[in-house]
Amino acid sequence: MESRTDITVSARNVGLDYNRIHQQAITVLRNITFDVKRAEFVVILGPSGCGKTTLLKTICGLISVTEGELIVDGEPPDIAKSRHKAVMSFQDACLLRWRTVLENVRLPEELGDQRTGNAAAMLELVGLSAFANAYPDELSGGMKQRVALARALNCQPTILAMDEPFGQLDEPGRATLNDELLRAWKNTQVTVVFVTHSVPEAVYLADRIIVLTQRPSTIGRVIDVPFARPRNAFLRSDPQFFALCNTISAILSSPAA
Amino acid sequence: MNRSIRSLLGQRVRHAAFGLCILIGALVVLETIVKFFHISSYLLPPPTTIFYKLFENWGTIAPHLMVTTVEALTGFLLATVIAICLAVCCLWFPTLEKLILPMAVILQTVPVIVLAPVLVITLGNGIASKVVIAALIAFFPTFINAARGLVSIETPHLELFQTLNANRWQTLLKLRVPTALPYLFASLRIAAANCYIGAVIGEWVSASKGIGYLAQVYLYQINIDLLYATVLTSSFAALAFAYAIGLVETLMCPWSRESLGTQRP
Repeated sequence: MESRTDITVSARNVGLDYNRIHQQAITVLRNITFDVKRAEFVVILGPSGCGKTTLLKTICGLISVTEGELIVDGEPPDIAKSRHKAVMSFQDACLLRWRTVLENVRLPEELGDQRTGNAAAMLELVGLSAFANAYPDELSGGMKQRVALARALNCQPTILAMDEPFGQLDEPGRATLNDELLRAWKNTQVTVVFVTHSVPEAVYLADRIIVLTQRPSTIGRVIDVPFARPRNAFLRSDPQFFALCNTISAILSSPAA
Repeated sequence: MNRSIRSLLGQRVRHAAFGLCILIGALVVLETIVKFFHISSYLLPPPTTIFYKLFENWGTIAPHLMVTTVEALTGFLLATVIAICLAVCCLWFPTLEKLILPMAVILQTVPVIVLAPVLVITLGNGIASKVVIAALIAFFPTFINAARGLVSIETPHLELFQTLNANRWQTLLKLRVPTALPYLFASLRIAAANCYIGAVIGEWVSASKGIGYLAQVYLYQINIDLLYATVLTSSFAALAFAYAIGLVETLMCPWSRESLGTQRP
């Protein structure tokens, strides 16, 4: 993949008004400006309903912004979408029940402009080769999310936009999948934009955390996460880790945020 | 995958065998009641007599059953194809649904027994009128369920297909149709029974062959044993058809909740 620039997502004064409902436009996003560097891991945090998911959808070209300029890998989001550059993964794993695990991972190869992919290798990357011929109904919640991750990576995207993918898992399952995700991220050099509610998850994963404010959302704070990589479970019990989590929780709960 | 389909098929066969046992039990009870209370045979012939007459006259009944089956299956096929095509059209052109749905409901509320003579007059005494009546009566459930099934996808799935840049046909064939299949099969089983009813009603109004025609002949002869025997053959044929649809469902969508729903709490 040619690297034209070191910036994969560039948002300049991005704003979004939802269609007028009862003569009233609802402003979801306002004046959002940020850059995401290539192969960076950025987490978006914010109060619920503040428009985190909406921001992800604009990056993936599912919703068009109504103000400002959004550039995804050097192109407008809808063009980037048509080249499978930005791929979204959801809270629900969204697997197709009638397809085996391998067939689910292969789905991106069959849609859009017919592309090549390597489903078997992606499945190997998330450690599920043994389940290639199983059906989604036979898998646990964590395994389903790993299949969803393999499917997203099989698009060979530049940007992986993840909307609380591990929100429905229990704490140990979430920790395991965080490590899986970091490993896959390191191996593929993909840029990740990750939305979550969980402050510890954000701190554990991110290079940088963008904290959004209440709607209409603007960027409240941008926090650099200083911890070295590769990160492992020991980090979770580090006092500095706790301190940063507490700082961020305080920012989130302060009314000015 | 093969093993799970085989076990699902085995389940279906076991269910059918169980149903058959219940049926045989009910017939034994009926036989006892008829014999014990000396019910006269033109009111309710004992099951053994009906089955005896059925075997004795199988040669006469079979060709008529064949005719009814051809009419019913052709009507079924016609109804299914039209219903699915219309459901897809309604999906892509929502205005069309507002037009078609009321018409379909009105058509469904008109009793077939009233429509049948009209159709026989317009389409003639032959097979065409019966096919159309069978199709009419099989159309409604299939259309409603197909239309419903095609829109029963979850929003995240649709968004997934959007982010993967799927076109309208890919979304239809790889997402909407597989989602709709369990809905469709549920209605196809209803339609399978309905289409036989439609064909027999058509024959009853006016025909020179078929189960409806033969039943009418036996009724006029007050040959009640054979009347029962004749009508039973079409019931069994409809039952077998509905059962076959169930088998096809198990083969085509083993993931369906209907098929998987056997492990109830």
